[in-house]
Amino acid sequence: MKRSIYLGVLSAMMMPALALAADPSKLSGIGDSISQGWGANNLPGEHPEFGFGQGTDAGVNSLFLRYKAKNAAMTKEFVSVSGAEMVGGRNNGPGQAARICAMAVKPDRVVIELGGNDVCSRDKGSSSDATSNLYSVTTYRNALKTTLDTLAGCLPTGAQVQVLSMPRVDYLFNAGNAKNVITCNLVWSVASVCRVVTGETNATRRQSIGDRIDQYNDGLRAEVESAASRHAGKITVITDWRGKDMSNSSVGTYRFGKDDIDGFDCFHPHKDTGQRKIACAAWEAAEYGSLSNVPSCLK
Amino acid sequence: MKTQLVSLALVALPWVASCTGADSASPTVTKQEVAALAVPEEGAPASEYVAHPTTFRLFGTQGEGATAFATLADTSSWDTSNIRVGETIGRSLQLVSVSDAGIELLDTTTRERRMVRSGEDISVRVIEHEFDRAAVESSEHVFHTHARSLARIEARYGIGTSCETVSFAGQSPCKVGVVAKNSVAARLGLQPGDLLLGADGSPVTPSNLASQLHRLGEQQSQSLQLSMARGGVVIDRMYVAE
Repeated sequence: MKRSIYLGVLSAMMMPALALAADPSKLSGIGDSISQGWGANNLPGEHPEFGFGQGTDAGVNSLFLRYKAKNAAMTKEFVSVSGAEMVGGRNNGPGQAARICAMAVKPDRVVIELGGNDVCSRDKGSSSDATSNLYSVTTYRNALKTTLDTLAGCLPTGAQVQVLSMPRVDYLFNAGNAKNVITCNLVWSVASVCRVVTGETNATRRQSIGDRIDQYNDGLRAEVESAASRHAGKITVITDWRGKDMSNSSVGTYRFGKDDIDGFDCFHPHKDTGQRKIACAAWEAAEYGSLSNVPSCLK
Repeated sequence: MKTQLVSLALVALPWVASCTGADSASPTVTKQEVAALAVPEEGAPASEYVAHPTTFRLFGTQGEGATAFATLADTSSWDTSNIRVGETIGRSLQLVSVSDAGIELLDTTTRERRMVRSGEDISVRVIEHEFDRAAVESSEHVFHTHARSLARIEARYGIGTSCETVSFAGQSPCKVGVVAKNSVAARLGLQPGDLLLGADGSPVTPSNLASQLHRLGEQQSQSLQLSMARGGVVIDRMYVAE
């Protein structure tokens, strides 16, 4: 199993690569509240200055700041929306991609961070199957496919689209409980934060939800590879996901700890830890970094 | 083989529609079509319905049996709907069956059945009642509302929800309870568990929630800004009367 994953990664890396635009000039982002830096400074609300992608805070050292260090003229225009899903609603991946395509100046770098709300916004599953109300992997993949095809239809030749794997929300649940079991559970209950896992008392059922997220990430990687092939010569499409068995090798396999999350709703990355780590991992998984360096970002 | 059948069905659609007296491109809904709707609005004349061509993409299906559902995206906005067997898109397109491979839709006005596979598009004629467009999200967190329709919905289905005051982040928001199907609250997109933080800057309480929502059904209503937290994330939603 591991062997096939390694071979998949290897083959993806060996695919004839399209020459990326020499000087990245504009970064855009498709995402949810993590991209919007929600609660990143322990205060409720969006704080995009602390977002891993678009942040301007030196401590986070966002993708934008890292690109700006390469090209001082770098600009950014994110379309991320708190609460957005990859699949559902009008702010989903395809919807946000269409907004990027409507921009007067198209970006040549796009980072996609979605998926948590595809799980958290679903109702609790049936008594026999905790995942019965979750989208199928096929559904997730088709929404991502539509997102990538939409972007490929409008981005300039040589653009790069990076699709980040989605964090396991059961790991965030564990992190919150480690942080403050009473306060965090109270906030989750009152504010209805990801009740599909925070309201689930059975550990096995929570595990099955986490397993579905692994399957989404496997599907994400397959779709990225398919899109990379389909749009070869136009754009490059990459992801950080290397398989569930490679611990701390991607955002999706990282086990968030109590210090990685905010102190307000106990479910969003903190600027000094979670957001900073995601920024580092995303950077290392793209053109100027190395996948082998991702684990060191997530320590 | 299945692809061929779907293609034949797509080609045959205008012909089927013409045989039933309906023009697939016409926004006008006939009395005969109203009589055949899967979910008619009781007593509503044909003039209260409108039809429009729409293309959906079937992103996929999940599950089997009574809990199975299909996720369809309107390709003009990419807004999605999760539909279970027996439920409808608009008033006439009924989901008949769900499988791993795809779905079967029945247009109750033409009796035509069409198969759609995951990842494929389907162009259909969607019939809606004016109640269905009483509050339409036109952009991020902005809804355009129709006062007359909301007033009629309230008269027929009620406001449809209540809330209880809770303590959250040093504030006292009102937490939405059950939301009744077809009610004003449902049409305005409220969901159980929403924390209502304020309406036009004033607190929302169990005693004033109904009057706050009722205002949107008054002819002189202009707008309502509803601040809420959903899933822990704060949203400022604007309802603008047309």
